[in-house]
Amino acid sequence: MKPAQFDYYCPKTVDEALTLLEESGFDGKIIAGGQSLVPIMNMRLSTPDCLIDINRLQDLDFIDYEEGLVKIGTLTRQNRVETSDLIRQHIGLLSEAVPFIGHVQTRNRGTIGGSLVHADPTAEIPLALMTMGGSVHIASTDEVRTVNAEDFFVTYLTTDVMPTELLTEIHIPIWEGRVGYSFQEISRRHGDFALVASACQLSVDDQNRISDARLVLGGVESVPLLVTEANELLHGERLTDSLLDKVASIVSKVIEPESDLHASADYRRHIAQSLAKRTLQEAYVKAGR
Amino acid sequence: MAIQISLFNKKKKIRPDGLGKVTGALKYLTDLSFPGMLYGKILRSTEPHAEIQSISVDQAKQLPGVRAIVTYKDVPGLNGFGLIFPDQPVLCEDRVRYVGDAIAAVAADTIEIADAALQLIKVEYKKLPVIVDPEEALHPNAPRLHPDGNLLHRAYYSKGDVEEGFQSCSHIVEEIYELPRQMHAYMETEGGVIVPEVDGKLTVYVGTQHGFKDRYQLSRILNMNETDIRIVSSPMGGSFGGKDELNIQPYGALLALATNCPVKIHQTRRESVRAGLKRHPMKITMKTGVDDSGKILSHKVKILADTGAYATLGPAVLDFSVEHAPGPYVIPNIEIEGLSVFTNNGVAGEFRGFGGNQVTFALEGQIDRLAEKLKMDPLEFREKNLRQVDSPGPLGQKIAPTSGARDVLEAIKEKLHENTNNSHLSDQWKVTGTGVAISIHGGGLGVGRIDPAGGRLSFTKEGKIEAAFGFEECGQGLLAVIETLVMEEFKCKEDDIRIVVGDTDSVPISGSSTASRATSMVWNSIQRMKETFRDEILERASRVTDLPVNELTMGPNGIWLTDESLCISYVELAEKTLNKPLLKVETSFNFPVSPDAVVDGSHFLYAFSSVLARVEVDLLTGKVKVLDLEQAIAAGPVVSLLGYQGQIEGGGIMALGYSLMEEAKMENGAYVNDNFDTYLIPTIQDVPFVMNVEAIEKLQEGDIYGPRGVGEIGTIAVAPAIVKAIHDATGCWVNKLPVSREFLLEQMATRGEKRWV
Repeated sequence: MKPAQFDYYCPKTVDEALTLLEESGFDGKIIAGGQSLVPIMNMRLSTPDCLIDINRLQDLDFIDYEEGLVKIGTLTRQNRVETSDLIRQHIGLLSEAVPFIGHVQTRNRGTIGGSLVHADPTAEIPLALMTMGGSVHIASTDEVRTVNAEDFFVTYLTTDVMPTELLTEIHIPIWEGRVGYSFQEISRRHGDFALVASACQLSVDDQNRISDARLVLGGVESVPLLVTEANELLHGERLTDSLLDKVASIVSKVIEPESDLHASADYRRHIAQSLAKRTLQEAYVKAGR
Repeated sequence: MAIQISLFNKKKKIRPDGLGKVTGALKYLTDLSFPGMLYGKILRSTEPHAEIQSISVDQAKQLPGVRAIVTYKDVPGLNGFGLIFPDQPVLCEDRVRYVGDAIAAVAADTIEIADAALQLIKVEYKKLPVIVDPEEALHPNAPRLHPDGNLLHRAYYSKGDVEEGFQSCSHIVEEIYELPRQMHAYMETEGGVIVPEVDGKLTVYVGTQHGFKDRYQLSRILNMNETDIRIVSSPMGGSFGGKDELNIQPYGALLALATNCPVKIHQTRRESVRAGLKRHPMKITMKTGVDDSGKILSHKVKILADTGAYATLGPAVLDFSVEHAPGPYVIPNIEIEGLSVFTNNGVAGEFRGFGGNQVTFALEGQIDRLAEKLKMDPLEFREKNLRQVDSPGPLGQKIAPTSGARDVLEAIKEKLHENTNNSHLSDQWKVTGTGVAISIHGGGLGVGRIDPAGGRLSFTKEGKIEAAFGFEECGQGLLAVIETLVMEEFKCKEDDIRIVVGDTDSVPISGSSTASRATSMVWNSIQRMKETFRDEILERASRVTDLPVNELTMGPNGIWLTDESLCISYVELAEKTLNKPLLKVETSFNFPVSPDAVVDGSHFLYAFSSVLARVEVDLLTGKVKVLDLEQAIAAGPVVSLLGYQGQIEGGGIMALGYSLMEEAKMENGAYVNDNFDTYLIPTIQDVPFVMNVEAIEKLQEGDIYGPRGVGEIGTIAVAPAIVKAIHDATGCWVNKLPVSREFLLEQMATRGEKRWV
C-alpha cells in the first residue's frame, strides 16, 4: 500500500524544525530513518498531514564524550552506534543491544532517537537506555528539558515527547568502578520483534559485592520494565545460585505475559526468567574480571 | 586457430536470465501491461463451509468503473477444475467448502474500484458444520463434503506378513509423526494478464508449471477450442509446485471475454495464502521392528493426509508418500495404508518433495530410534538394511540399477568424520549435536500416468540454433540447463542459441515442469535429436562451402573445418540456405517407467540424498540454530553447477524452515497466519554457515538415462537430520514439526537436563 497524502518539509536547522513542529501541532510528525514510521504510514495505521524530515540536521548526528557521560545526537544512525569505539569502550551495553535491531539494512537508516520516540515495548534501545540510567533532551521553541528514562516511556508507543517537541540528544552516564553488563534477546527469528529481551548492568565493589544493579526486561510490559525489587535485593550481595533463583521468582511475579501466535504466556514467562538470570550472571562475571 | 574449449566451462556458468533478474530488467508476466487493460479481483468465501442461499451483484454493478462481474451463471463450459478430476468449482453456485472458494469476479478500471465492488456483492450463506480434522471427516456420521464422501483416495501396498514379521523382532518402535501445512512462499504471487485477441482467440499470460495443461483445463471451462487459447507461462517468480494447478486463469479469462478487454489479476499475499495450495499436513503412524542383528523385518505404516476441500493432485501425492514409506531400505514385510481425506481446510496439493518429505521424516525417525534401541551406530544400522545396486524399488518394482543409496551414505560418513570438530562452546547454556538422514526420491509422474516428453531443435532463418521445449522457467534454472546442454553438444556459443519456452503456440509437448523431470527430459531429448541435427546442418554447410562433410564440425559462431578454421558462420549459412526448408528435428517419447510395476505411480528413476545437520540448542530457551547443513546427492551428472548447488542449498533452507519455523495454522477453517509477518520463513541469518553440496555424478554402466532432476531432492531428508541432531544434543526425540521450543524445554525438564527454572 501507499501512504495517505501528506505535506513534506525539509528544515535546514533545528530551530526551523521546531518552528514547523509548533505550527503543525498534532498534525505534524518528525521523520528521521523512517524504518518504523514509513511501514506504519504505508499500512495507513498512521496518517500524519505533515512530515518534517530532520535528515538534513547534521547537528543532531554526533557521538561525544564528556566527563562521566556519553552524548549521542538523536539523528545518529544505529549502525554508527553499533560500530562506535567510544560507545563500546564507555557504554558497551548499547553496543551489545544494537545488533539485535532488525537487519543491517534497517540499522543503516534507523536512528537512535527514532527508536526511542517510537517506544516499541520490545525495542532494544529503550531497554538499553533504561538499564544504563540515561536521560534525553527534549526541545521545543520555548525550552529544552531533560527527562530521565524512567519518566520518558509512558505506555505502548507513547513517550513524554509532546507533538510540538523534538528529542535532540541522548545522555548516557558512564558507570564508575568495576562494571559489567549483558543484553540478551529471544525472538522467533533473528530481526523480528523480541518475545522477551533482558538487559542488566551492575557494578561490584572490591569484595565482588554488588553495589548497584539495574535489571530491565523488554517485551513483557507496555514499557521497559525496571525490576526494582530484584535490584534492591541484589544490593550489597555476592551473586549466588540461590540469589539468581530469587531474582527469577521476582521476575515471574512482576510480569503478566500474554499468549499469542508467536509464543504462549508460559513460554514468555519461562524465558523472561531464564534471560534475567543469564544477563545477571553474565554481567556479574564481566564486572568481576 | 583452435577452438577455445574453455568457453564451455559449465562449472561456473551464469544463467542466461541472471542479469535481467538481478537488475530487475526482466519482466515477469505480472509486470505486463496492455492498452485498455482492466483489473480483476476475485470474491472468495468468508465461510469454510456453507450453503450459498443467494448472490446479489446488482449494487456492485452500479459502481462507476465496474466493467463486468461474473458468477457461476457466466461459466460457458464446465464449472470445475482440477488436475486429476475437476471437483473444484470455478465459481461456486450453491455451496462453499473452504475460505478460498471463489464466488464472483469483478473487472474494473482500477484495482481500488474492483476491491470496492467486491464489498458490494452480497452473498447469503447458511453455515454448515465445519470439518477441520481428517479423523472426524472419516467418521460415518460426518457431513459429506463431496458426493462420494470424504475419502479422496486410499493407497495400499503390502508384501510378506507384517504381523508375523513383528513376532520375530527383538525391538519394535511405534511412533506417531505429525507434519505441518507448509506454504510455498514464492516471491511472485499468482497473477498475470489475459488478453482477448481480435480474431476471437485468447492469450493467457499467467505463470504455470505446464502451459498445455492449463490450456486443456481452460478450454473445458470456457468451452473454446484448445487451439484458440494461447498460454504464455514463463518466467515465474517461483512456484515450487504451487502454481501447478489453475489459480487465477479462469477468472481472468471469463472477465476478459465478458469485457473484450485485457484483464490483469495479481493476487495479494493474503489472497494467495487463502486460495493457494499448501503442503499436505500428515499424521503418520509407523511401527517398525528389527531382529537382534539389526535387520529390519517388519514395517507397518499408516498415513492420514489432510487434503483440504478439493482434490487437485492429492491422490498422486498420497501415492508418492506410500511408495516412499519404506525408503531406500530392504524390508521383507511391509504394509502401508494411506488415506487422503477431504476437510474444510485450505487445499493441500503439489509441493516440492510431493509427499516424500513427510514420510522420510517419519521413516528416518524410526531408523534413528531403532538404532538407539539396538545400541548400534545409526549409519551402520542404515548400511545393514540399505538397498543394493540391483534391489527392486520400494514397492518391489524393477528400477534402473543404482548405487546411489550407498554412495550418499558413504559420502556423508566421510563428512561426519571431518565434522567431528564440536567447536568449543563459549556459552554454558548451549549444547551442540549432529544428525544424519538419507532419502530416496522418484522422478517423473510414475507408471500408469500420461507423462510425455519431447523437444525440438531447429536452425532459424536468422542463423540461430533454436532449442524449444514445453517446459517452464519457474526460477529453477531451466534456461541455464538448456543453454548448457546445447552448448556442450554443439560446441557453440551462448549467442548462437535461441531458447524458446513457455508459450503453447511455439513449443512442442514436453510434459510438465514438475516431478524433478525437466532437466532429465531436456538431456534425453537432446540425445535423441543431436545426431540428426548435426548431420543435417553439416550436410547443408558442406553443400554451401563445397567442403567435405566429414571434415566439418559445429563450433562457436559457425561451422569449422577440422577444428582449425571457421569456414562459414551460422548467420551466413542461414542466408545461403534460405530457399531450403527449415532445418527442424523433433522428438517425442515418454518418461521411462518400470516394466513390471504393479502399483500406479511408482517410479523407475530415483535420486538419493544424505544430509548432515549440526545444531546448537539453547538449554534455557529451547532455541535451535542450525550450524551446518551438508548434503550429498546422487542424481547423475551435473548439468548446470550453480543451478544444482542452488537447488540443493535452497531446498535445504526451505526444509530448514519446514523443520523449525513454518506452519500455516488454521483455526476453524481460517488461516491464522496469512502473511509473512506471522508466517516465518528463514532469512539469511538462519542460513547455516557451512552448506557443502557434494554431487555424486556416477551412474551404473549401461545407464542411458543421464542426469536426474534435483529440484526436489534437496528438501527431503533435511528435517529428520535436524531432529536427530537435536536429539544428539539434548536427548529429546521430536515427532512433530516445526520443532517447538516449548516442547523441547518440557522434554529437557522431564529428562532433568534443564539447568535452571
